[in-house]
Amino acid sequence: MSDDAFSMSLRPVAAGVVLGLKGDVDTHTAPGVLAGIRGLVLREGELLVLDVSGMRFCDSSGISAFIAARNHAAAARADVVLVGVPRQTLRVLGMIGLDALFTFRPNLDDALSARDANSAGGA
Amino acid sequence: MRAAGEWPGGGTGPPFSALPEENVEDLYDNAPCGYLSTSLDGTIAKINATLLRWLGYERDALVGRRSFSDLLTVGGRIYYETHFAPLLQMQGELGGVALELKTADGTRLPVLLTSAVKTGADGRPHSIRTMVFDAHDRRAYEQELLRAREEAELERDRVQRLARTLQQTLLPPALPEVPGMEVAAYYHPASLDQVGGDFYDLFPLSGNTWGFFLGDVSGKGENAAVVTSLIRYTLRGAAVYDPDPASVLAHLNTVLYQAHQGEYPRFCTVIYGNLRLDGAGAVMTVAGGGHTPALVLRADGTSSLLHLRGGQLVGALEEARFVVDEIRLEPGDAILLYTDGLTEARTGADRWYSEEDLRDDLSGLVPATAAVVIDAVNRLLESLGDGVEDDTALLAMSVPSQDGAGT
Repeated sequence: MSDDAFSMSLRPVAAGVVLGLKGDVDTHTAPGVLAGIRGLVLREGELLVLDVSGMRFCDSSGISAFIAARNHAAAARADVVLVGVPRQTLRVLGMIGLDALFTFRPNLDDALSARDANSAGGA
Repeated sequence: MRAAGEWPGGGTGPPFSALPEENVEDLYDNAPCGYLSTSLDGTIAKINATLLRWLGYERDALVGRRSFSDLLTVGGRIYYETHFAPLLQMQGELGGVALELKTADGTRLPVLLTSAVKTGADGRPHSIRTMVFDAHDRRAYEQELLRAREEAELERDRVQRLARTLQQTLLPPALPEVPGMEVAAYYHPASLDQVGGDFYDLFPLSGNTWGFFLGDVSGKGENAAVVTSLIRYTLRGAAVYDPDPASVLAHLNTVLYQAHQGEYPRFCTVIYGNLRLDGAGAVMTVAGGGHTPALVLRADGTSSLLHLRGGQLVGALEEARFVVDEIRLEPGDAILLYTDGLTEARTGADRWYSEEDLRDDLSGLVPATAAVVIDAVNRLLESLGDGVEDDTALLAMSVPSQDGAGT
């Protein structure tokens, strides 16, 4: 089972919340990810960071998770940032025309500091 | 830990003392297994009553008169002489060998044998002792296992047939004939017992216009199959209502998005197009919904990808954007639509077969008729072998060349 190779973590930060996915995001693990995302309480203007830098494998179920995160955040007028998306997954996101929907950052520090800079600039 | 010399029941002697006195001779004769001693040439020297009873012989009929191999079936005897005896000679003992013995009335007795060579005081072998266990129960158990396995295999075949039948209902049984065009399609399931989520169709609209589509549903199995059905009927219905390709995909997007709100999201990537015969060639208006780019093969052997960049996958977003392009096929030209089972095939640890690889591998294909293109991709799929982890659907359309080569 791939469950052994998968873990999900949730961490509140000043800007919002960081959802970390590690291991294989596939048919077996995706329902848990989707439930986790839908259970998040987001406020307007908050940031949902989906940190997939520890993700080893991502099929269309993983793409479902990205879309669910985006739709869930959009419903709350919150923003989504994807951190550490593998090259092959970026390619797929480009192919299916969804790359424009997301902000991509190479690592968590960049994601959070870029946010701080934006907030500072906007204030 | 129990101290040495202390036995259950509080006694100090060995537990045998608690049993009625055992007669060793009786234990030998009436043991729950057969005992047999033979000389080195196999002549039966001693046999216990249990084994005699199993075999239905009198002691005098066997001892000193018959050899052990006389008790074996023909197959058993060959096995005994070519395997059992030589191994026993080499190792000095041998256990757990399954054979069949012949009883006096000709029935067969499945047994397990354990044999040991007995050496004399001089260290030289002088006889063979064999224990014989009745293996009826084990044989019955093995036959039960075999029967269960056969039933499981039958059941698996049945399920695979069902999956194939369902899959065939999700694909058009045969493509219609399009006057002035050649069309061919192919479906390559990655596994027999999974209903895949690839789909395609080609159907008449009005006059000399035809609709076609090919796509791929996220996920696999029966849930994907349900969505595949919904997609096919929605696309065909939408095309009749408003044949504009972008409108057809927008219609599908609305249906899919609403059908799966709140549940596990289901979406697809798809290319939808209209084909209109025009003079000696054909004009296609194609809308892309996040699908891998179609491959265009020209009569001169050049090939290119028909990118519809920015077109979004269908069913995931409330408002999706689709990108439309128009392409003209002249005599000798072909177009290939395919799903990403092909372009997501692994060619290395971190390498995938790409659309660009496909474009390069198929360039120079002249004449690129629909059938020739499908054949070429089939050969590619075979060469990728186990790297192909997903289903692959192919739809090729070509305009015959006018020099007669295509007829």
